[in-house]
Amino acid sequence: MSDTPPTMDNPDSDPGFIPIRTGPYPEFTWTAVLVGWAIGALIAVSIGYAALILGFAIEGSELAAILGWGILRGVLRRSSIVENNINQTIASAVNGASSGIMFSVPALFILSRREGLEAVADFNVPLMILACITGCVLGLAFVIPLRKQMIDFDRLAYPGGIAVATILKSPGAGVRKAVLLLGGALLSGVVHLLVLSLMGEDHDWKANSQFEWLPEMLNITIYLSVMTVGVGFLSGKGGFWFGAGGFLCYFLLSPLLSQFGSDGVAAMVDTPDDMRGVLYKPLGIGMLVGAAVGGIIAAFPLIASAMKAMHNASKSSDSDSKNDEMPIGLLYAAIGIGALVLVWIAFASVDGMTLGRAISMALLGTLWVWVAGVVVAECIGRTNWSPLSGMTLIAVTILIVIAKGGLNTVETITSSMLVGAAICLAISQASDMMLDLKSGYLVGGIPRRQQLAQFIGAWLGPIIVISLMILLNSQYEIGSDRLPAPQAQALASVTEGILDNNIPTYRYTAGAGLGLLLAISGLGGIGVLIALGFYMPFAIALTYTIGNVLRIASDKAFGSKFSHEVGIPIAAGLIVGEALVGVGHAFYKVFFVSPDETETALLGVHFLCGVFG
Amino acid sequence: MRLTGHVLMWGGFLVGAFYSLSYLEVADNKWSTVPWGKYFAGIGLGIVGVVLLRVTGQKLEGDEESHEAKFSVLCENLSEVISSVSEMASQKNHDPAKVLNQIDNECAEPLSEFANARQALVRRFGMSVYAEVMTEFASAERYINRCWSAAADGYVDEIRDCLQKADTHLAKTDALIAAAEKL
Repeated sequence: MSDTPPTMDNPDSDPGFIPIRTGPYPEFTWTAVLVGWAIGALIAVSIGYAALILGFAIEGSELAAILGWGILRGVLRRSSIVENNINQTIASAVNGASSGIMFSVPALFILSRREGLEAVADFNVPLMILACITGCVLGLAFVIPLRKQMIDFDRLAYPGGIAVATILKSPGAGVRKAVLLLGGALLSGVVHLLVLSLMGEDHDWKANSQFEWLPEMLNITIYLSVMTVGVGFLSGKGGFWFGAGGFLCYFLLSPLLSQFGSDGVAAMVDTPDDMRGVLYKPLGIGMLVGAAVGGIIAAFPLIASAMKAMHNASKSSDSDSKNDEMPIGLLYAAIGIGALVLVWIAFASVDGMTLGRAISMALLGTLWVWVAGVVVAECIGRTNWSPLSGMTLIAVTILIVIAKGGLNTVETITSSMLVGAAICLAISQASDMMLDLKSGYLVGGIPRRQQLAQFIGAWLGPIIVISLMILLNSQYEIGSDRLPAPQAQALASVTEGILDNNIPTYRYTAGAGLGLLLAISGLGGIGVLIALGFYMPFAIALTYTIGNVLRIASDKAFGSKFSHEVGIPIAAGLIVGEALVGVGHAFYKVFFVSPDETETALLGVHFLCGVFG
Repeated sequence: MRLTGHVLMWGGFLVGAFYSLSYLEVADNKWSTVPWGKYFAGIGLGIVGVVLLRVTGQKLEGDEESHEAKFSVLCENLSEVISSVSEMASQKNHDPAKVLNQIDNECAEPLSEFANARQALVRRFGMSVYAEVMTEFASAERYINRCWSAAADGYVDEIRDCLQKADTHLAKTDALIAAAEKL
């Protein structure tokens, strides 16, 4: 290696020239914080608003990384990959509120349109914002100690984290990788555009309808999304059992049930959507919980080692290890204070609340944040999908069961949704934190700084998104044709079902036993993955499996280096392209297809400009 | 024995899943929807399978060779990374472009291979040593990744700092494995 590196004086002498810079490497800077807040607020308002119309929220990390790349490098002439990593961490933390809140809080407005439930819309807004912020703190404090176990020890893939890291590293990865990334993004974007224009929002190609000899029960439907193939590729063979769970349902259990099941079930097997909604999904939710609890038991030695390492780091005189992780004592304190604040929030939520009931709701809620945090961190690490709705559903079920013993219906709904929103935000932040920590690992970010960045971003999201939601509800009713809020509609329906005692608790329980059985088998991670195969639509699992198979074949045929050099940049591009076209399509629909709603969005922007000066 | 364990576990799981799903909800007595006796028979069968898997997993002689081979792969790759990082860390001046290339060409693959073979550590030394080794290894890998980023951005002081830290963590990884071997 030469001892006389090129300098700023001869930049054109070498095409691979990198200008020499001295001094500290910018990472956690005010620039990153301010740009992260700004991008996060922009994404949260946009995606939050689109979620109320379209029914789904979009993970903002890739978008934040690309916008950050443009603003930090292009406009502000900054030159640090790890600084952009902090920027995207903060931005996606702010945006984390849009998926968490839009799934839960609007359900209160929707329920308030039912006769006798009008008062549930009169919830205490500052208390709701505080609940959501408390949820963020709890979710982060619980999931941060899992970083070591899931990223350092288990080395979960976190495909979304790999995609973000690929974007962040693109300035130094060379032209070839950049071309592969862009090529993948272009391919995925074009395919997604074609699918959207030809098929609308329905991305499923039902192969059964093309080949009549295929039995309907096999549910051979391809989810037309090359992004999903990319996610499967990045997960590699580690994600194989997710697809296997889907095959178990539709290729083994459905045929068996058609022959040996009860008449009602046998009559239903040829309608796979009903099979999923009535049977497989509830069993999958239970399996997820059982597998998570079993997983915690099975991984206890590793979790204990990770905690021990964090304790040792806190006490260590070695400044490196001490500065790498957030102090464990601080996280314990955050959990303790968060739980106490949640008790107070539950107690203050409605007039009829007793202290004992508030303590029960808050403590069980806090415990559930931990269990659900483990579930989502593992699911998103192995497959990139987070069962946020299923975990929130169980949280709301638990809370309503506790609350309805002594409160009237309105008070039960209000208090349960308030604490439930906190839990939903906690789960949302937990999955975002783990994705970001994986990106950080791959670009060499310091975990402690990233964890701090997530806390710095997380509080802002609830303020922005709840303000936006209240404004939108006052202008155009949430739940109306203009703002259908499909996810919250679903939660509102389920909440009514829970109040009427109309939930398949028996199937959750049976699923929990099965999940526990798989989790204790010693076959790493299969419990959660197979459970996710039961829970998710088979079309997604099938398409995801194509990615798994491609990765396994690529590794076998060309070696793992080829996968790293060629396959991963393309797969990351596939994720980025479809995500960006998805965001663009959402805006197109909002601003050009539904002109009335443009006015609403602009009102939201004006309102926020007013609030934040 | 191991095959029997798999057959029993998966058979038990399928029996349990089948009976969890074989009836639509019984309106007047929801909990009777699942025939719990048959369900628990399936779970019981599955548990016997899990026990067999656990027992055979510990005694499996046939896998010894492959674990030994994996452990060798792991040690060889660790040596490769240590030698490359030590060589870079010993330099006085760093050309970012060359550091970038060296990490891509000499460190990326051995790091990945070490990680792929990491289960050999659990098998050989148990969870506790595995956790200690992986803590040091992951720190080293993270600092190598940081060095790559700093090199891509041209920050030479950071490159030097990261290489030294990565070198220290890799040395600790090696020392932990050596100490565990002596026990």
